[in-house]
This record gives sequence, C-alpha cells and structure tokens, in this order.
Amino acid sequence: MLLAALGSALSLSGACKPSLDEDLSHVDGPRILAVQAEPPEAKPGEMVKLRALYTDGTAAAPTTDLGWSFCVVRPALAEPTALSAACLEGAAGALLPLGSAPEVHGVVPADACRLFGPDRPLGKPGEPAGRAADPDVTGGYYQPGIVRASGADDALFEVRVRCGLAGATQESVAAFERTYRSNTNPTVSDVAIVRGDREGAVADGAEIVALPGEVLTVRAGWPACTDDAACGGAERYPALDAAARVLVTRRESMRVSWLATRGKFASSRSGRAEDDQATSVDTTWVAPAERGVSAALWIVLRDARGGTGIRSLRVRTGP
Amino acid sequence: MRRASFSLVLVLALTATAPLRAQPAPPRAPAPAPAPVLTKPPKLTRFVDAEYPASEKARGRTAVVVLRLTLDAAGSVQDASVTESAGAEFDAAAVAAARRFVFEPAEIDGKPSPIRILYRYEFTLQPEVQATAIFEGVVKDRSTQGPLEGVTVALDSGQQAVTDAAGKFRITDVPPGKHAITLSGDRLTALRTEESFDAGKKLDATYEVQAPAAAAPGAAADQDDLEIVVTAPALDKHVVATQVTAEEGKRLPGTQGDVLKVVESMPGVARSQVGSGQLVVWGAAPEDTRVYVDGVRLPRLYHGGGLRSVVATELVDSVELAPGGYGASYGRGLGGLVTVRTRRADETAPHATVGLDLLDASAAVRTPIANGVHVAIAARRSHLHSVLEPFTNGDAEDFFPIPRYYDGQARVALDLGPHERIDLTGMLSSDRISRTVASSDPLLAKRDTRETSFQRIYARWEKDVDGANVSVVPWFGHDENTLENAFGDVPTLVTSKSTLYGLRTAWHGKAAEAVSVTVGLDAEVADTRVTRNGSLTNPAREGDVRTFGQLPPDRVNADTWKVVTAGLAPFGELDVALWGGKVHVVPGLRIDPYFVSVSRRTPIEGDTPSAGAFREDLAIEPRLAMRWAASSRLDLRAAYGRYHQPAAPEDLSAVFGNPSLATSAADHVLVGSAVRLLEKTSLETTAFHVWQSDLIVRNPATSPLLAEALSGIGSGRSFGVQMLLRQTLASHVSGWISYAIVRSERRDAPDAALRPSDYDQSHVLTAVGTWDLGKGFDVGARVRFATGFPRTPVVRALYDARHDTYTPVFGATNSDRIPAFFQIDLRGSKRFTLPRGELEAYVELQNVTNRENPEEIVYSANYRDKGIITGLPILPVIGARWTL
Repeated sequence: MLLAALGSALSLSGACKPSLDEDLSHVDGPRILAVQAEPPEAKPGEMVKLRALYTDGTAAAPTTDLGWSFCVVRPALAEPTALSAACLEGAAGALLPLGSAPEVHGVVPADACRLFGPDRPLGKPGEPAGRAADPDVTGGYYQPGIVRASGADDALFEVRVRCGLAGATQESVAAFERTYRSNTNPTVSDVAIVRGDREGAVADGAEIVALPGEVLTVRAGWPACTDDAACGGAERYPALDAAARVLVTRRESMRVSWLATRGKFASSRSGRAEDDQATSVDTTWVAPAERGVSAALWIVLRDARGGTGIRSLRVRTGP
Repeated sequence: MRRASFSLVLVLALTATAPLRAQPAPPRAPAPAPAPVLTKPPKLTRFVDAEYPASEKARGRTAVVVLRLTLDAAGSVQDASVTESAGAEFDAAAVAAARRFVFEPAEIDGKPSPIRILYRYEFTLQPEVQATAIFEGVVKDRSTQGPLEGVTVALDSGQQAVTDAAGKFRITDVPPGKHAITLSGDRLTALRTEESFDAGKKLDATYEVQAPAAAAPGAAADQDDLEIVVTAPALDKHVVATQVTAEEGKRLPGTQGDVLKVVESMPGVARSQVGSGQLVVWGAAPEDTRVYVDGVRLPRLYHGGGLRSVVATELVDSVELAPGGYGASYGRGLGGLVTVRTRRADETAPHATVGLDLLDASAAVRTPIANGVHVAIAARRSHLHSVLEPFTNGDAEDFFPIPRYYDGQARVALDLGPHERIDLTGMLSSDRISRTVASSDPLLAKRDTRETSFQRIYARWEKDVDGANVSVVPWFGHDENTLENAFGDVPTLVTSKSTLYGLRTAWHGKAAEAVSVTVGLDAEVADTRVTRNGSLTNPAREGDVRTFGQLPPDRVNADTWKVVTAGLAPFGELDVALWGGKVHVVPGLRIDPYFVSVSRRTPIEGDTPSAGAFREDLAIEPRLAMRWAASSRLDLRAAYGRYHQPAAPEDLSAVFGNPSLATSAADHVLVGSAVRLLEKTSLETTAFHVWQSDLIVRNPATSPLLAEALSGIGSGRSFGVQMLLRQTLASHVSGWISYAIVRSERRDAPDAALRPSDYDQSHVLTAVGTWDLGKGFDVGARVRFATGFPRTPVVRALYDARHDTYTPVFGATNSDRIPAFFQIDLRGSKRFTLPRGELEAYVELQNVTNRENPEEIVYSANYRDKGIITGLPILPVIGARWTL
C-alpha cells in the first residue's frame, strides 16, 4: 500500500505541465516596457502626458516613433480585455488618435466616466440607462488606450480617471470626495547594487562596471509615505468596499519589474503586497559572461492605482 | 425451511463412565486410586437436524428435550435416552437425530475414552429465510375473461409452469431480479413481457390474452393480432438508457470498486477532464444533467475531483443513465438524467463491508434489528492528503489540489406488511479542495478554495395494491457551495446556501385493458442565499473565451441576494400496449409551473430600498415514447420530449446576472433500434437531435441595461449517433463497447453564427469489460478514446502596461481543440474466503501505456509559445475490501 502511495504521489507530483517559462525580464527585441501617464489620474477633460518606455532590444537609445490612441468604445461584459474588440480591430470611430511620438499629450475624453466609469451609459431613446462599468479592486476606473511601435507587440495603456462612486450612499460619496487624493506616480527613489557586504547607490542612467558573470544584487526602493501628503511610495487612499458598501482605507501594493538587454535577472517581477510595509525589493542579476559588453537595465515601479515610475542604469562588463 | 437448533449444555459424568471400564479387582486393600481426569471433552463434529414433528410445527410449538448420550471411545453414539421429555413426538425426533451424531472422542487422562453426557436439543421455529420469490397468477382470455388452460408461462431462468383449468399458474424459487416472461401455447404465438421479483415476495400477475377462436378457419393468420395485457407494464421507463447493476459496475475497471463511477463510461457521456468529475451528456453542459437517488435530487454525483461518487456502493442497487428523451416523471433539466436506485434493506443477517485504498477508507453495515426492521449505515472519508504528506514534506497542496471529502448514508427500513414498506434515509456529503501558490510578485500569488456539501433526509413509502404501486417520497435538504480564490489582489467569492423541500409521489397501475398509467407529482422548493464578489467573468461560464491560468479581469463588484424557486409539477404517463404488446406507445405530459422570487431587482443604489422581482413561468412538457418489437430480436424505438430548466440562483443577481431570467428549454428527438444478437448480447443504436432555446448567456451588448449582465437569448443544438454493443453479466464475461459521434453547438445571440460549444466532443469510444476467471479471480480492462474539447486559439498578444502582463487576443471562439485522448486501464482482483467473510484485493493500473494524454492547452506568459498539460502517467491504485 505504501509503495503504491509513493508511486502515486510521485506520479501526481510529476504532473504534467509543460515548461513554458518565458523570461520576461530579458529584452532582446523591440518592445514597449512601460507606459507612464503624468499625472496618472485625471478628471475627464484634463490633459495628461503619455510617455512609453520603448527599446529596440539593444542598449542604444531607440528612435522609432510610437502611435498613440485612446479607445472610445466600451468592451462588452464578456470581452476578456479592457480594450474592446472594436478598438483592437481599429474599427472606424473606435480610436481617438493622440499622435505619433515618443511622448504625446492627450485630453481624457469628457465622457470617460460614462464609457468606462460609474456613470450609467445613456440608453437608446425610450430605454433606461445602461449598466455602469465595474471598478477595479482599488475602486478605480480607467480610460484605455493603445500604443503601437514598429516590430513590437501593441501595448494597452490605461489612464486612471477621477470619477465618482457607484452605488454608494450620499454620506460615503461626500466622505470620498473629501478624503480622496488623486494618485501620483511612484518614484524609484533608491537603486543600489550590493556586492557582498558593500552596497552602492546608483544614479538614474548611470553606468557601473561588473565582472563577467558576476552576480549582483539589485535593490530598488521607494519613499515611505505618511497619510497626509502626496507621495511617490505606497499611498493610502479611501475606496468603497463593494461588499460592505462602506468606505475603507487601503494602501497601494507596489510591484517592480526588472528588465535587462543582457545578463539575467533571477525574477522578472517582485513586489510588496498591500499589507507589507517594506519600501524596497531586491533581486539578483548575473552579468554577461563576455567582457566589454554593455547591458541596459530598467527598473519599473508600479503602484496599484496605475502609477508608474522608471529608472535605468547601464552595466559594462570589465575591467 | 424451518430448522431445529441445538446447544451443547453439559459435558460431564465422569463418575458415570467408571462402570463402563473393565476394572480388575485390586489384590489387596489398596490406597485410594487417583480419580480419572477429563483432559479433553468430546466435540460434536457432525450434527444432524431432527425432523420437526409436523403436527407440532403446525401448532407453532417449540420444545426442549434433554438427552443422555453414551459415546464410545471412537466418539460414536452408542445410546441415547430421554431425561427430560417434551412429548413423545419431540422425544422420538430428538433421539433419532442424536443417534446419528458423531463426536470427536473425549479423552480421560489423555486417552480416548467412552463417556456419557447430557445433551439439550432445542426445537425452535425460526422465521423462514426466503432468498427467492414466488410467481403466480392467472392467464385469461381478454374477450371472454375466461381462464385459459394449457398456456406455458416461462421465465428466462428456465423455470416454467402450465396454467390449469382455472388459468392459474405458480412458479416457486424464482431468483430475485428482473426476468423476461414468455407466454406460449398451442393457440398462442410466444408473447414476451418482463417482471421484477423481490426475494421473499410473491408476485401476483394477471395476463389477459386476446386468443383466436379455437379451431376457427384462418386462426393461424390472425395470430399477429394476439395481444397481451400485463398488469404491471413491461415498458422500460426510458426509451434509451443504460442501466448497470452494482454487482456488475463495481467490477469494471476505472471505477475502483465504486459502482457510480461507471456512469463515466456509459454511452453518450463525454470524457471529462481529469479531476473535473463533470458529467457531459450528449454535449449538454454538466449543470444541465440531473442526478436523482430514489427520486430525490442530488446536486452532484461525484465528489470534487471526480475521484469518488457521493453514495456508497454497498447501498446502491443499480444506476441508470438516460441521456435524453426520458419520461414525464422527471424534468427541470435540459440534459441527461442519472437515476440511482438504492438497495432494499431486507437482509436476513448482518452484512458488513470495510474498504481501504489509496484514496479513502469506507465502511458499511446492513443488518436487521427486529422483525421487519432493517438498518443500513455507510461512511467514507478521504485520506489521500495524509497518504501523500510524508512524501511531499507536507506541501503537496501548494503544487496541486488534493481533494478532501467524506460522505455518509443511513437508512431505517420498516416492513409495514407484505406489500407495504417505508424507508427513512439520510445522506450527507462534503468536499474541499484548496490550493495556494506563493509568489514574490503579488500579482501572481494565487489562492483557490472550493467547498461543497449537501445533506438529504427523505422518507419513502411504497405500497402495492391490487397490481398497482403507489409511492410517496417527501424530502428535505441543504446544499452549500463556496468558491473563494484570489489571483493577485483580485478576489473572488461565491457562496450559495440552499434549503430544499421536495415531494415526489407516484401511482402506477392499470387503467384499462392494455393501458397502464403513471401519475404523480414532483414538487421542489429551494430557498437560496447567494453572496458573490469579484470579477464578472470569474467563474467562467460556457462560451467565455479564456486560456487556462489566465488572470481574471480586475474589474470587480459585489452582491448579496436571495432566491426562492418553486416548482410544482403534476405528471402523467400512459403505456398503451398494442398488437399483443409488440408495440408500446407511451404518451406523457408534465406541467411544471415555476415561481421565482428574487430579493433584488436592481443593484444597490445608495440608500434606496431594494425592490424584489417575481416571475412565473408555466412549462408544458409533452413526452412521447414508442417501442415496437418488430421481431423477437429487433426492437425499434423513438421518443420525443420537451424539457425546461429554471435559471440557477447564482445567475439571478442584479449585478452579475439578471433577476428576470426565464426558463431555458430543450426538445429531444431520438430514434433507435436494439438488436439481440445473442441471448445476452445486444446492439443498440440511437440517433438524436436536441434543440435548446432561451439559453442563458453573457449579454453581448457593450452597454447592457441595468441588471441584465446575463440574457436568455442563447440557443444551441446537439445531434449525433451513439452505438452500444453490450454483453450483460453472463458466462463470466460482461461489458460493452460504446461509440458516439456528437456535435454540440451554441449560438450566443439570435443573429450570431453557430459555434462549437465548450462541451463538444466529436468522438467518444469506450470499451469496458470484465472476465471472471474463476477461483475468485477477476480481470478487466477499459479502453477510451475521445476527441478533445474545443478551445479558443490565441492569435496574438497585447502588452498590458498597467499590469506588466500580456493579454491574449483570441481567434474564432472554440475553433481549436485539445488533442485527442487515449487511455487503457487494467484491473485485477482476487477474492479470498476467510473464516469470517470475504476479502477482495484489487489493483487498478490506470494509463498502462503511460501515454502523455493531453488535458489542457497552455500558453507562455507572452502567448508566443503554446504547450499541452498532460494527464497522469501510469498510476497504480491498490485497495482491499472485506465483506462479512
């Protein structure tokens, strides 16, 4: 019986999933790595600046222009993405072009809260208003858009839209308006390279030298936030608890994406959950084995409300 | 047969033995000789039943006769005399029997010696133990109502009797179970019908036969017009159904001794994914197929993961699957029907079973506790998680979900008379599957827990009255389901708690010559409270496009609502026998008014009080079944039925569903044939077409109206052919080969194109069989081939900059498929006779070819690479079952 159990256990634990692990931290071709909106949260009618972190897969600065559009067609309930099929297919009138440049400015459509937010869409004449969109887990609503770059996968970006609360009591709405502070982009305030016992800070865009095949610990940090000021770290914010229908105070979770054109990160993403008070994460990066090569590294910090912060550095294998 | 019993009450009289020994006189005044010592008492090795005096037996008298037996040194009875009399007849019978006893000799001082003992012989009248049934009745001329003499009534067991001048016949010692009955005679062509016999019961039948005028010219030409009218109708309940007895089912490979697992191998059932336990019948969604035990609806047939059924095999008599076109007694489901009949608690002695294997441990007891009162109890509990723990450092569930389950059943059965009984039964079942995947990335941390449980209590009262049968089954139940998971910071919680009340009544008897009737009532009320929060599309439903492991959308909402659903369905069915019973036409009608009350018509809006919604639907469901015995070997069959299914309470949310959903409907049409190739071998072929309408689907509008996230605008169809070549349990071999070719399609909106449904499995081939090798050895094999279920292909991916993930862009819905599945399972078992009971040890080797069977399609994180999750490799399951 025990042998049978053992055999079965091994059989079961040997189950049976193919290895399809894609190292998303390794950048070896044209790719959009991040999109940053400034500010990351805006009201309908307000202007935002959109910037994409794009690379052609080398350490050199890319020159390709990017094509930006807002999507102005709401996806059906069963559609699996925030971007409707009409926008994916480029249907007439579905996209609102914003321009072609590494950075563009766009005005959040005036009806964003009706299309993608808590305001119920107007029905046909004689019909009642439709169903409002559901918020994300932070209570936010987003204006979707698409950015295209030559040779790279299209990227979906979303700008958080400052809308009201759906289904809340007047009291909750008033409290929300009184206490809610629009999101700000997080800041990668500290990047440090740890070699053994030594830890050295690295400035944004700086170049460091590593031995071929050297294992470096890369640490990224963000500011600790207090409750009463905008902050580049994990901010607190009020949100409507959809089940209890009361306002609760939440704290942003933070996620860091590690990206490099050469070498290898131990993991492509790290993060701190909502209840994790730590203000930094780290991972290891193994330098390329060849001498005299240069690698571009990017550290992208995202908060739970759609904010993005970006840092970069270069590593040259030496001496 | 009544038997006398005995007991040995005294072994003694050493002093009495002394005179028997030839002791020479001592030469001189001796010292006292040591007393002889009985070192071994005599032991009765051959007991002879005394003949119970007939006159005393007739008077119901019992008695005790005390005998003095004189045994010689070989253990033979030399003399028997009465020391306590019970009357001349008892005394004589006891002495006669005792003289034929044989003992193992007594030993005195270590040597075989003669001895004299007292023996108490008890004459006790015990209730007769009837293991067989009695079949008697009368055969009449339908026209004259006069008796028909000389008609041979024969059973398929070979027993037969010829009617006397009064048209009466009697056959004793009929083995219990269903038997084919043949009536034949000089003036009759052979007519066939079928009867069920219960051990210890007598079946009275009246057959009315339309006989031609004796010796009339042209009589032979008219023989086709002969008609048999049977008091109990012979037509099976369903035109197309596969029934397997517990004895046959538990020996089949793939069941691990669990008879209800055999449903997975029945024709018309798709091969579901490993660990899902879903029943996909004729392309219908699993939730469209209904499961009933003794007429009481259960929420599921299998525990989570599909490893075991929820009813102990020891309490199951048979299981039947009707994939479609079933009669008016059942409804409220668009798909198939699984009916489980439990074993009657009528044991004359205690029976116990204990089972143990890799998955779980089980025990069952069935016993009489008083005259006419029987009890049956069974329980089962999984221990797979405990078995695996030593080999996986206790973290096995971090990698793959391990089902934890238990179930139990208890029954008290009372015989209220020879044709009346009542059973009180309780059932419970519980399941839990949990899995946690930790990750340094909060977005990729996963937690998934599913818990389900149900309880049922029901009473079943049955009475046979003048050839009719009436049954009443009131029942009460509670269902509870919880799905709780979190993908990253996207939570999902769905809980539903239902309290159920049901009543099923039926009267079944003869209304006129050639017409038997079933009428009844099927009522069910469900009071359900549902809480849900999370993403609208998690859990997914049929037609949702997604990939395995895909993160759910992070748009969330929440709702809590209450649903009361009531259905009160009177039903009726006629069985009209035509042309001597060669043709049976069974029209039926079921009228099912549904009442649905939902606590909230629209989502919560601030402080606005909630308004409820009430809906009433009337479902008229005609049913028709026909069977024509075209020859003694060929049956032709056809059936039509209309079926309705109310919306699930989980779909009636103002936020996630639609409180105003109406019932969905389906029309089943099927035609088929059954050819008896050999006495126990048949080939059944059935073609079917099912149309489904008003199916509940996601609202396709980009801006659906409030509280209309779901809409009843879907439709679908399933059609195909299934074949079954079956050898029923005989000649040590049983099993079947089934093949089905099925197409199942859905239309998500009236103007949308048809697409393959999620449950479309084009080809399913199953061969399953067992062979009794004798000397307690059984071997069996199961071979399965099945087309994979459809999946929606990913044509490219979109980088999601907010989440730093990739989002798939899909091609045409369900235009791809999981590759085909092929597996061979073997089973071997050996039964050992023990001093007490029987031990059966078995080993099942699943997937003996160690084939890497595709179970699911997966993609890499950026959807550039595609792979296949394969099922379990070769898997041995060893178990043992002890039965008393």
